[in-house]
Amino acid sequence: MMAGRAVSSVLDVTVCLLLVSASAVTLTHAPTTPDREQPGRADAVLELLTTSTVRIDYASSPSRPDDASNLTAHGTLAGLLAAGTVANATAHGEPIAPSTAGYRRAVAASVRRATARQDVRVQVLVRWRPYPGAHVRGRFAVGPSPPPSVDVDAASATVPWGPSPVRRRAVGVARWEGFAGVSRAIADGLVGGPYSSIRTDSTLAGARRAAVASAYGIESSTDEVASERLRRAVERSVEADLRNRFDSPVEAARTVSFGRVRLTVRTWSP
Amino acid sequence: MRLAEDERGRVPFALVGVVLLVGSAALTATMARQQAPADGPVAGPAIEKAKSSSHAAIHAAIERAARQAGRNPIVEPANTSYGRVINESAPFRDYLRVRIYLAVVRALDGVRAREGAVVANPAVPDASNETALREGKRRIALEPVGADRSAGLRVRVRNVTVTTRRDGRLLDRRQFTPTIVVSTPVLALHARTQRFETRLNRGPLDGPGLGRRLTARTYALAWVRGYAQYGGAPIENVVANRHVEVLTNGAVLREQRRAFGRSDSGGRRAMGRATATVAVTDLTEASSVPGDRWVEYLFERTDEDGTTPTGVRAFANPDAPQRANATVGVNRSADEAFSRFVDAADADSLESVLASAYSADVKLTATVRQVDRHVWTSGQPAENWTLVGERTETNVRVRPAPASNAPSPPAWDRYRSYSRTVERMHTTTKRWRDGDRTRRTQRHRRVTFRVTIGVLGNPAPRAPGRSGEIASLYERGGPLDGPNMQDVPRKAVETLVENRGGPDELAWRAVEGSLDTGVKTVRADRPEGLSAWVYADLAALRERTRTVSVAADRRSAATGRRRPGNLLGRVLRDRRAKLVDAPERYDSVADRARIAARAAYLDRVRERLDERSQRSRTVRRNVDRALSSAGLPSLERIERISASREAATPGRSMIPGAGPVEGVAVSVDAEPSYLTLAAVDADPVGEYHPLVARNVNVFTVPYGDAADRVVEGVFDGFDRRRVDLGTAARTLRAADRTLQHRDDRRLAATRDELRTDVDASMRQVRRHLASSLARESSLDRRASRAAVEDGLAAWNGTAEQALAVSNGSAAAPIADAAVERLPAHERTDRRRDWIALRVRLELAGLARQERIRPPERPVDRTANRTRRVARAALTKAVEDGLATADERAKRRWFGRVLSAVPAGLPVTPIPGYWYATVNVWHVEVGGTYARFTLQARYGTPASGPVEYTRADRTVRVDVDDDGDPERLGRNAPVSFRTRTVVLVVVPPDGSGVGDVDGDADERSPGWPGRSDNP
Repeated sequence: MMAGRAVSSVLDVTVCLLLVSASAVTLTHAPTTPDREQPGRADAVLELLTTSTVRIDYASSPSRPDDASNLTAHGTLAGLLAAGTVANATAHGEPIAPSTAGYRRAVAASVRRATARQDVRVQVLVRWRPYPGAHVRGRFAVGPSPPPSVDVDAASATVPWGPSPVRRRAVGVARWEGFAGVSRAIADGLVGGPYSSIRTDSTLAGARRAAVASAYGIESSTDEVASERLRRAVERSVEADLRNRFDSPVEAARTVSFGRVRLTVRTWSP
Repeated sequence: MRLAEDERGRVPFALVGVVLLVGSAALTATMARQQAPADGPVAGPAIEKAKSSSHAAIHAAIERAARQAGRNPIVEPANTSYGRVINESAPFRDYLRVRIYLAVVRALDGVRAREGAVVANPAVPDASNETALREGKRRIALEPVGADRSAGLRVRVRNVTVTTRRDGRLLDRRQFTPTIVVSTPVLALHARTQRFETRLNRGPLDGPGLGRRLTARTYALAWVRGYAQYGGAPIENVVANRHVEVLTNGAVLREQRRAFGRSDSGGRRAMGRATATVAVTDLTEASSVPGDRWVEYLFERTDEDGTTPTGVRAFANPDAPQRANATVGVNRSADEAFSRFVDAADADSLESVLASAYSADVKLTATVRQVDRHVWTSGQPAENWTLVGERTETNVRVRPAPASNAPSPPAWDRYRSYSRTVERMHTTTKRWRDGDRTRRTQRHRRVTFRVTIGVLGNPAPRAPGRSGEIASLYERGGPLDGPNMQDVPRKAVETLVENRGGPDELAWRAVEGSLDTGVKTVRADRPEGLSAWVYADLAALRERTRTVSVAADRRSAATGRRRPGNLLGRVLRDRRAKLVDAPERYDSVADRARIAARAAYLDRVRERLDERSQRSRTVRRNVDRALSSAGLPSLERIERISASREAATPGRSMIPGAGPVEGVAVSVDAEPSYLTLAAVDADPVGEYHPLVARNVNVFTVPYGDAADRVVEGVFDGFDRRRVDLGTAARTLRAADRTLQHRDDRRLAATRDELRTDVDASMRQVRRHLASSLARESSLDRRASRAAVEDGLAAWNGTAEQALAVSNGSAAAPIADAAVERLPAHERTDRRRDWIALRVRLELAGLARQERIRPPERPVDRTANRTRRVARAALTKAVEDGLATADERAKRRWFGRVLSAVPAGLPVTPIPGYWYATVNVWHVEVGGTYARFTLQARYGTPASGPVEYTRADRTVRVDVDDDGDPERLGRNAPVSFRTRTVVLVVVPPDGSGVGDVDGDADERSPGWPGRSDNP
């Protein structure tokens, strides 16, 4: 009575079960939602910084803590951080801008208030570099660096802080005027006037002015001629930087990131 | 067979598994496929991302553009192809739109949103030419958020195009219009600066602003200094341009506070320093010596004199003199009315008033009553007799009747009554004939009348003043024991009855109806001393009337807005009853006459005051004409200007915020912070005059007697060759005094010349006075001359005598001397009073005699020289130290000399009614800030505060991004021009008020030589 089956039943069932499992796996792995990563904690903080606006009042000059020297600023935390970064620039490691301690204190306090979490530590680090390898750079950090042993979630973005024409101008002149033109465009942005890191006006106190002068190896003075001399010196330094790093001025001009800062948020659990 | 055992058609389990696997794989594949639609890659997320980044970029761009626009705003668009894009009606707003548009173009250039392979690019078209720029500008809509002038700006950027591409292939193109609120106070700064400039340019009548503030300040200063000058302080320039500078700056700083909540701190400090400097200059202006000694001198001198505390007190309370009332009295009007009243012979004179008081109206009255009528006949004619003749005879018989009184109407007195019986008999005789027989018949008709004739009298019916009962009217009595109207009844009977045929005749006439009952006037005998008695009474009334005065606001009195003549007239009317002082019941006709004279005199005074008031109106009109010919506003306008002073109210220093920006502090930084009259070297413009000023003192004509001219209405083009005697006298006295202390040959020479002229004038004065005395008294010419000499002998020297003549104080001594010379019986009180009065009036009238007024040139020269010598002496005295006791006695001479120069316009409708001296200053200022920066304390250290700077600069923007900026327009400095007029009124006497340094039209160095200015 035992007619032989084509396949062993045991094998048959086994194969069947295997196939059922395989199809289950297939279905499980079917893409049910768009394929997007869950935002991390650092991303959340970054978004907060770029979207929430605050108003801060600060003393523009620490030596005159009276009403008249008080300023008001308003904007996104990222924007305020960016301005603090640029205004705190150094040249060859020397501070070149008027003291912005009051401003930075006020911004840092606002950032801390906005990012405070019970279970998370946050560090916000802002860096400004007008072009790769620049001798002028700014840095502004809020919060301590994470200990080396912990897992760190990080996110970063570039944030505009001020005038963008520097890059446009640099690109515009690069082809015809070469490194000199690019350097001049950058130096114009760096020296003199508001939005520039290297002030030549009277807001620069004596000691700082001397520091700027020594950073560029020129004499300290406030008159028109001196500020033009300073601009030339900055131009020379920029050109040296660029020639060191780039082969073509066009390439150099394209990398100019004068009007942007890089904002990095790092979070970790304590 | 069992189903379970059926082996046919068996399928292996594995096959089911395969089917399941294939099915689930297919399902999975289908699900995966659904994620990517068939029509290609997704654009949505990239667009969203592009939108949000462009939002942020535009926000930053707007803020930046606003800052740049504020740093060099366009006030006036350029006449270039790009400049015409900017609308002229609101250039700054349009310029801001242009800048925002350009900034947005550039900002969006850098925005690129990437989502996987999809790239979204937001953009607005470039501005390659002016049409594109105009299009681009129109994309930008601006509106302030919240209230006007607050810090927020709502910007709509129309039609930003987002282009989405994947690998260079166009996926999608769509437009959106972001609306972005930026908190930038630049529009607010612009609006405030505009308002500031508008207010600076306002004249005093245009509304609140600089004009009014300047008016208030100039008024305070001019009144204080004017009074000090009037009080004897040696001030030569009451309103100088150095004052105008300080006043203008003070007012402008106030305006800054009003507009911005705070003023430039540098300006405030400079203002303090300038005020101090000007104050010192003021105190030392008469000398070149700085400082405190002069202060000491000035104040000591005023205290010692005691006559001039007003000026000094005014320093403590600058408002005081402006509120001061002038007391305006009837004064000489009383004299003139008196003289005219007593002297004249017309119907309004004293004589006619007395006559009318001493006269009565008399008339007859008659009553006729028929008492009996009787008719009888004698003889009877027969039937056939013929009437041949008829004759009628009338017989009247008057016989006395029992006395009865004639009725008397009210107000009439009955002096006498006559009663008569009048019998009138008509007898008609007829003659009859019959053949030759004649016969007579008679008819008698007798009528008897009772007639009463009355003689009525009405005493003093037309005498002025209240008519009333007179006690002892028809008997002797009263203060003069005169006959009163005692003889009036007798005279009435004589006139009316006896001279007309007696009572019988009159009775008959009454019956006939032909009695004359018309009114006749009968004059009563006047008592001996009536005229003198009434004169004395009137003289007392005159003195009382003279002192009637009203307090009038000095300014309005002086400018004739409220005419003192009118005010006085009203007061006199109100007090008339009291001044007339009529008794309830007159005790005599003399009393009645006295009251009549009083009433009539007061009417004369009223008339004089009316004339005076009329003349003030003429003066006002003439002053107006004088002002307008000098290009100045009318008095009425000046009065309104002076009333338009305004209190300072600080504005808000915070720009109200919108949204998160609650308020932004503003600070002002001007270059130069203090507007000087002197040239400065300022940044964008180089050397220029920040402030120009001109102040014109209208009535400085130092020695021209403007008063007469104004009275005569020939102010423009007047004859300047002669001056008023008083002016010449004062100048001569100052020169004499100076020469007592200093030898100066030139001064001595001009002084001598002047003295000759004044002597000549005085000779005329003497002649006039002497002939007047001879006319008014029984003195002959020689005695009159001697009397004038005697009277003037009370003063030493030509100057003092001329001064005494010009101010009227010589009248009393001259009159006294004249009276002394009269024979004893003529030396009555009445004579005395009359002569004094006439001399007084004569002296006042002399002022108008052209031949008495000395020529101007010597006066002018002497005054200038005197002032120079005195100033030098003063300077030296201060240098030497004034503290020594010996100097104390002497040192006052130069102060007096310096303050003796007359100035201002004496307001004297008639010479002798000098109740104020006025002067007018017309002040014009123009100012420009080389740079005027408003700073809103808003921004990060990178951007700095938001600034709005006005300066003379070209505005260029690189529109087409070719590295070569295009001219769009001009920025312009904050500048202003305004004017005011100050009217200063000081009491009469003294040397008046005005600039006496000979610089009536003071122009600051930068004042443009404009011809359209007065």
